[in-house]
Amino acid sequence: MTFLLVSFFWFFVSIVLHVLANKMRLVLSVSRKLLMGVFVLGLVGYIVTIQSPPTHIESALSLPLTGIFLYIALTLAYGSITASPSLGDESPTSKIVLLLFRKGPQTEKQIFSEFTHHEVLGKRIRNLLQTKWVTNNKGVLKATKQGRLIGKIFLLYRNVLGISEGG
Amino acid sequence: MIDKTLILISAFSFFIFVAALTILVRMRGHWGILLWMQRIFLVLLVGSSVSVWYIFSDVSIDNKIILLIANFFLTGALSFAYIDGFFGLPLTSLRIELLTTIVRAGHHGIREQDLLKRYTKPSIIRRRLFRLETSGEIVRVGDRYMLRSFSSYFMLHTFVLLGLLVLYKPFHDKKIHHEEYPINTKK
Repeated sequence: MTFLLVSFFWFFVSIVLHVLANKMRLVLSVSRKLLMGVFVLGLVGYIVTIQSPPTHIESALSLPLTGIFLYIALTLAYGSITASPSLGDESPTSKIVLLLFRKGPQTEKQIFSEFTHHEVLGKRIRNLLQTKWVTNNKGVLKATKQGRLIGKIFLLYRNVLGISEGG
Repeated sequence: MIDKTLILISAFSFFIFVAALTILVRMRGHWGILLWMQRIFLVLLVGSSVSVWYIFSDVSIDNKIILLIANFFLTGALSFAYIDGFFGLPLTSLRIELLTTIVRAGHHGIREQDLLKRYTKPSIIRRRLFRLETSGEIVRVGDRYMLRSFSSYFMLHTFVLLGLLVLYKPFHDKKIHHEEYPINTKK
């Protein structure tokens, strides 16, 4: 149990540091990708901690590797859910659900009026350009090498799932 | 040995989950599968827990409980990361859909105006309304949409995302002018 608790402890410490670092991001002028390095530090912290476990705690169950994989799995799960919020994005689906929660039943027209073109599309195109997956040359959008690679991975995955279109 | 065996059980459970989801989508399509995903995960978790219980039969009850907890979090976290970070993206992410459309256009690329004709605000929002309706999260009564329930997995997910949006808002964010991406909606 000790190893699991230590893994959870370092995971929560990493979350706190990640949130604080993100809030200071504009002041520190640090990229979001670099901030994920906080979780690497957390893993190092876990590994260092388990090198010298408390001797007064006797446990027949030694799970150091499970602790490492647990930390990595929790980090991946956390990374997947925070990807959009850390970009400042609220998904249109979540916004629809919150709108219905706050204001009750809405018509299609009322729901449409809550969204701007920029919010639905502009932000996403801008994000594709900022991450350098796509370039815009005189109004023509083209995928970069990195964008093509990522796009082809998802197209292949869609083929495996038997889906022609998403979004 | 217990350590590695537990990791193998959790990893195997996760791969079974991935395979089951893939088969589910191929059989049913990707609309209205949220409930089925939850059922598959529950069945998988029960199966995985039973495996842990019997494989480690010579371990004390206390330690078995610890192993079950570890297995639950390991399998759960991996499955959640897969659904939210990978499985859901080709199905629901507009960003990924825009990217794949641009990739399919090849080396010539696609004119921004052509992309905007294909993906309009009404079509995008209608698609989401349809997805929420087929998932059972909302229901249409007459010409109005309303929530079917105030306590569902997606509601929980939405509130968590909202909390994270607030938590992750940088200091000095208000001082930054967020320039809008110019979208020419004129035909």
